[in-house]
Amino acid sequence: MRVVVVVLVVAVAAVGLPAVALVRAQGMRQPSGDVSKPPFPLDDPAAIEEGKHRFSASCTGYCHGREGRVSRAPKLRGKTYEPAWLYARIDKGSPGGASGLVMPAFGTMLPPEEIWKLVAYVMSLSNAKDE
Amino acid sequence: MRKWLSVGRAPLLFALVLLFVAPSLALGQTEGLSRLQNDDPNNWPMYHRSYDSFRYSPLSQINRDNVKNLTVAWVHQPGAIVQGLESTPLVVDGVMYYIASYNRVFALDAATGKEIWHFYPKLDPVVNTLFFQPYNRGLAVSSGRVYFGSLDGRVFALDQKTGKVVWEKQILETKKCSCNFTGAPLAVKDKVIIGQTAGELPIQGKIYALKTSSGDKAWEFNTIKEDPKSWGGDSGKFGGGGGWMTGSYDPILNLVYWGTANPAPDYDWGGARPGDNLYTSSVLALDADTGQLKWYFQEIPHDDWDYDSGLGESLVLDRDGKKLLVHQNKSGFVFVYDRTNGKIENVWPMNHVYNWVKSINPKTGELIGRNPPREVGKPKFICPWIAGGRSWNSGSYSPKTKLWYNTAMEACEDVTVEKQTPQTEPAAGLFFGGDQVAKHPPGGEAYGHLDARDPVTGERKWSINFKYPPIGSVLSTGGGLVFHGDIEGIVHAYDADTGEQLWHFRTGSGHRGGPISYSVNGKQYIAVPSGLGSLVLGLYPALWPEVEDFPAGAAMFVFTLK
Repeated sequence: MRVVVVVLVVAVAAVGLPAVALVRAQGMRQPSGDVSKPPFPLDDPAAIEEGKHRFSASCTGYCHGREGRVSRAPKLRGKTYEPAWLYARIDKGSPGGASGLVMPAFGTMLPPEEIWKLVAYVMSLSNAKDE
Repeated sequence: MRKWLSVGRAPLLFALVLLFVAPSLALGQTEGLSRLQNDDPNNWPMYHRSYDSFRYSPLSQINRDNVKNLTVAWVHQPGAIVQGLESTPLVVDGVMYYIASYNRVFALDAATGKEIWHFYPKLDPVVNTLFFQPYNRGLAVSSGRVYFGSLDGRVFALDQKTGKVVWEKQILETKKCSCNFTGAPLAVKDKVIIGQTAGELPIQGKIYALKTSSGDKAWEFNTIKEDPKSWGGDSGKFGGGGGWMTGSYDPILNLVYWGTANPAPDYDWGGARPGDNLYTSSVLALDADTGQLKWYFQEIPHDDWDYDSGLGESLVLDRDGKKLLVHQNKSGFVFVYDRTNGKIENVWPMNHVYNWVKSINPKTGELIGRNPPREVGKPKFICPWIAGGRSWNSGSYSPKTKLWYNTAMEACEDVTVEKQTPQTEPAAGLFFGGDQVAKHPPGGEAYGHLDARDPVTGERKWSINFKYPPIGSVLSTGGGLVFHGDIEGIVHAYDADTGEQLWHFRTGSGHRGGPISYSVNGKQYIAVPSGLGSLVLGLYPALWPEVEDFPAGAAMFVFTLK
């Protein structure tokens, strides 16, 4: 998809969601290629800019807020995330938990390089202030 | 923007309908007419209770004098809280049917809450990739079956007594279109009608009628008109639209009234979709038997704001000898039509704060002084925000007070348009063409309100303000009461004449669904779905940071007198 709605939902699995479990059990497509490391430096300005465009071109107001500003979803500005964790969350999404939020999986929509650009952009927000 | 196609003369149509209805009555196919006439006040048999979409229960055992004695009769929890509980329950002959997130369907003893059956569909994993999930707004019941549209693009018919699948049909190519069903179907005679999500997707959204007997498609209506004047270039291929909420029905005219969603992309940087973009952001009058378009009115020609006419109710209202239709879109303006031909009777604003137009001509529906966000990369201040002057939740019309009880959101946004190329491979990607940040209105705080209004003139009788704009539907009753739940998790009962609060109860999580009333064995109940969750809530924390931590939940609270 063209948007990142990285709803970084805390994984609390206490509420019993058989339907979710079913979706997870049937599995999502594994991303193709080597996804263990980014194909470019994560501080590459061009990659960050492309990631920003993909992030903001759709729906972030409903999800993470424009440029990662405050929303119901977890904050992205001023936070430090592990790149591999971010990649996995964007790829696989999160089926939701105690927060009542859900994040779609983007691994079937985006090639690994595009996901890494999103990772680069979200990482670039670590020094941004939440306004 | 009105187009009158071929509406029959009412008296002649009435006579013709009688000719066809009489044999139907003889065959026992009376459900449609009886439901329109509300002849069984004990039931709530469809999404808006009746084909006129009033969301009004004539029951009066619970009234102004005794509502203070309401107490909890029972609570049912669906066990899935993601995106809360957005649905409106149905009650038919003492059994409650409702649907929760992940399409969990329940049949309960409506007097005790004891489960009769449940149905948890095996959903395709594609659901996990979708934007519109995992909520659902409601069911339809007809011909001994319970119908719903699923998150993965199927329509199900369950046996009303057992919950077993009678038929299921894959209607949408969800793996390709990323579209699905989230709204309640409408059962009309031998068909069940349902529209799909599409407004934020580069696809063509449709409305479908399936045969109740088999699920076979009876007709479909493409909300994207094949017309190069209306859709420049190939923009129509990616035009969005669809009809994701539930329409109304007039059995005398045999017309189904259905609102259509916004075009895609939501925002236009100039040239994204040249033309007026028919039939998006419109009201359609479709022949219930054939799906033939009888008339339409495009409320937002070339919608630049995602003001989406697909939401909410269309009141089928008769007044002073006129057959009217009252419909609101997300712009906050209420359109009043002659429902025989789509001619505008009036247009009035439900919202106090707006700048997307200067006004709308109340005689023609023409938008005056459009103010579209067009400049790429530069934020533009627009009111109301993308969540709308009202969201998809419904108001309630009481034929007793002749007032429409309806909610409004007075909030704004900064819209930043971004050029975007539609993505259709390997599946459709979201196609917004921009982004937004919620903003307070000029000179004050954003807020919401519940109003009692004349639905035709807009005249206001009373109004109650809320700090957080409410997103739950409204119920009015023959007991002179109005029920409504707020975002903080409190359900209120108001005097329908004055707006005075007579009772309230804290359910513990906010309200997004639809309260109803019904009766079993002579005892009246009020059912209130509670459980905060909604895409639009993502906009709130920019204005009220504390909303970020408002608890989710999902529970059906049912109240009765002590």
